[in-house]
Amino acid sequence: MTQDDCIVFIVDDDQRICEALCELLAARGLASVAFNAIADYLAFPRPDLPGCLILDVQLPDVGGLEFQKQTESEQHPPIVFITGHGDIPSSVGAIQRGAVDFLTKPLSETELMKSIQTAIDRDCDARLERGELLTLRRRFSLLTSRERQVLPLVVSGLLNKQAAAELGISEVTLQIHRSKIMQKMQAASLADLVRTAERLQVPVTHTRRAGTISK
Amino acid sequence: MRAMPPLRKYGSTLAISGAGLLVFWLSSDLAPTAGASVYVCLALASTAIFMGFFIRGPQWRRALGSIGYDATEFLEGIPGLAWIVDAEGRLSKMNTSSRDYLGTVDTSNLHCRQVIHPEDFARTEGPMSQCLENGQEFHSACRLRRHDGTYRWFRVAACPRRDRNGKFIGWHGILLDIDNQKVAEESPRASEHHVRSILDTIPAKIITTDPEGNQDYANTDIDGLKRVERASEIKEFRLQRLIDALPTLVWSARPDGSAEFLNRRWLEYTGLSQEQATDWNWTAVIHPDDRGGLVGYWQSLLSAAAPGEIEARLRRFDGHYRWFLFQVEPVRDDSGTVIHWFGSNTDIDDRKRVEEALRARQHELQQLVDTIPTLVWSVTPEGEPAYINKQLETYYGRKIDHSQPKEGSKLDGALGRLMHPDDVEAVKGKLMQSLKTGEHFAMRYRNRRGDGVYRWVDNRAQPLRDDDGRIVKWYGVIIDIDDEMSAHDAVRATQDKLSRASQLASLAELSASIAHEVNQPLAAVITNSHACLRWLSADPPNLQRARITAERMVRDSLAAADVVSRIRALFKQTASSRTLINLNEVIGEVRQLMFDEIISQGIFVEANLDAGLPPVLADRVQMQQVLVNLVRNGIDAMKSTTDVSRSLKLGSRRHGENAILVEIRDNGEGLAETERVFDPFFTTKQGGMGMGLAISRSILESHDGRLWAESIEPRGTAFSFTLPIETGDAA
Repeated sequence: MTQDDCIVFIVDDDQRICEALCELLAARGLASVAFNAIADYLAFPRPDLPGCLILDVQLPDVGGLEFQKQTESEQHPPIVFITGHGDIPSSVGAIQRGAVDFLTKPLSETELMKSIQTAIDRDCDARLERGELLTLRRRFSLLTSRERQVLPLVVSGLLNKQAAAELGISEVTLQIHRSKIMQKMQAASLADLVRTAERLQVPVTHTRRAGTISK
Repeated sequence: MRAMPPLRKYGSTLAISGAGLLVFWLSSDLAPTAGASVYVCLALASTAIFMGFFIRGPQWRRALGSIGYDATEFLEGIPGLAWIVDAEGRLSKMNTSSRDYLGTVDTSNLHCRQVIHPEDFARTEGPMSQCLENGQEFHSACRLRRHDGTYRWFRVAACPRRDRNGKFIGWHGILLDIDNQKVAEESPRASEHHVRSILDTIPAKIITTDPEGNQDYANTDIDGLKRVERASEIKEFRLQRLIDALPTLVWSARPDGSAEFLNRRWLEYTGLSQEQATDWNWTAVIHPDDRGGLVGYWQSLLSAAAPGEIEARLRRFDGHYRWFLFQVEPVRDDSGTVIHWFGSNTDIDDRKRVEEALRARQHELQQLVDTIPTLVWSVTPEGEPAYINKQLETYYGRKIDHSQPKEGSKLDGALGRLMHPDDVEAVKGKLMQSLKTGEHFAMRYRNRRGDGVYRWVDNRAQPLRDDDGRIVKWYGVIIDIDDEMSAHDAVRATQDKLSRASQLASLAELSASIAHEVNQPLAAVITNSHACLRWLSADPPNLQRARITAERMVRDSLAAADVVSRIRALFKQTASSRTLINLNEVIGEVRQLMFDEIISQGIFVEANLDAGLPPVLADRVQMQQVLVNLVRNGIDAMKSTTDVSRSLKLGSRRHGENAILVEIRDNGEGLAETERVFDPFFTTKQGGMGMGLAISRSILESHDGRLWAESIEPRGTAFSFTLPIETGDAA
């Protein structure tokens, strides 16, 4: 684990717990920031670094589980729950909603560090995924409107002849559009282009056999 | 009058003869014992005599003149004394009867003065000379000396005799012996008195009025004797008519009870004649069903010589029976012996019918009151019990006791017997208040049913007032609401149980909260210790950071230790809610509360409680919490007990002079360390918090009590606690 390229956020209403956790993470070479309430955490300008959130279940303003529900749709770092006395239903719920772990106090150092590591790894993957998608989207944005019309027909598997007929253009013109697309999307092969289109969620609208998919 | 000369002639003759007969009869021995009828007849007879004379006089004179009988022969035939007196007053001629009476053979030169009582002679002189002057007939009564020297009363009728020239030549006269009549001189008065006494003894008001409606007679005390005396002769008639006209059946009876006289109405009503009804024959018209009773009653009155009355049905002439009220009064002579019975029968048939209708109606109402499914009562304005309906009698299992109690009012006694001792005062106060002010009475309290069970009732009463607004009576209804009240109680009990359960839950919450309080600093301590170890094991060791974490560890550990002392303080704060409580009651409540758990675990609970325990000053809820905790510990300790039956023994008793000891013994697995179990967070139970006993001990110590545990042989544990008895001098 690298020491400087990630950050751990801590939200616990008990200052003594915050202090102890920060101290422990510092001793393990991890940067951490602690807050006593969700509101303070949200107000903090988070650096664009892989990280995780160690969240207490019982909090004075917004409960930890409630906060987790609010962040589901966001690109939020993974959460590790800590609690004084956890119960099975709330821990199951938390895990199902994507929490990395559900730890009870007093915390075991090993378990805590393992959970933090898992959370940061998961955040790194997510961030990488989000980065690749960003590149592909940037490439997609370079396509002309005609090329964006051609792309779905091509990745749907239509023959050039069929695609040209569909758009009412000559087969030659279609082939020019197609090679431009391959160029702009930096696709090495048609199969590569199909995978890229899939990640960009370009819809497959036609089939070679029955023409337009009535969807 | 001219149209009926024969009637007049014979009528007068008959009247005179009748009078004679009567006079004879009256003088006989019958007279004194004769009843009213005799006197009435006598009165009639005497009147007839006078009438006879009035009618007879002028006719006689005419007969003498016109027919021209020989005077002597005629005089001899007259049933009386006949005289002819000359102008000087000498008796010139007389018949044999006169001579026999006077006993004088030589009647020449016999002057009237010599035979007429001097008093009477003097009295008649004036009227006679007056008659001479105006030529009228002379009528009077005087006493004539009989041959034996005694004087007897005679009725005198005489007319002056004149010659052809109109010169007065003497008197023609006739004299009738009326001495017997005179003996019964009192007769009109006596007869009237008799009739009056009938009227006055008739137990009814009798009034007669003249055609104008003025009252001219009233019996008994309305007017009195004077008026009657004033015109006794007229009254005599009237009374007779009255008796017959009375709209009542009037009768008299002999001392032996046989009928003597029955008035016209009586005879008309029954259709019997006087003869058919006299003696005991009258009983024939009494309804067969009533006859026996009436005759028996009549005989009892006869023997007791007391007045009385009875109701019986009397047969009318047409065979129809009507109800009559028979009333009878005895009449006594001066010596007090009953000489007559006077009675009246009053027609009460219509009244009887109304009464019967009323009775039927009353019966119906009574049945209604007795059958409605409500308890009905009434008391007098003074509060004396007056009536309770059948339902209430059944409810109380007793009737109203109408006998006067030896002391206190009946109401007091009734209240005391019929309701819960705790409610008597309140009910009495409220009832007395209502009786005094007339306010409606409404109250809920516990009544004592006949079987001794106390039941809740709703009692409401309202006064009945007369036209003047005075309270005549109080009427009330009692509705048994015990079942509803029980339902209420059940709801309340459930609520109590729930609230107590929540109090127990709050103890669990408290424990959780305490655990949290302790856990937080502990968690910090542990995390800090990990950090500290990291700093120390770093290369080179970061001693400065290690020191900081170690300091934090000390601080947080102290915080955890502080929690326990704060628990103690927590219970001390609630000391103000302490009241005097009976621990046995609390034990009972806890048993109730733990019932389900005890049953489901198959535990036999044995309670050995000292009923005479004094109360202790304690917080009831906290005591419940302690007991629940100890009982639950006992139950948990016996979970592994399978070889013997699980038994939990609860006991309470005095502990020395000033304390109560409560003991909970189980036959569970027992404790290895009987003191350590009271330490916070010490637990032998899977999932136990280890706080229950610590809190329990804290609670008891805050009550100046003690809690300890002992192992018992061969197995099990006894938890005991003591609490000081409230002596009164403690604050």
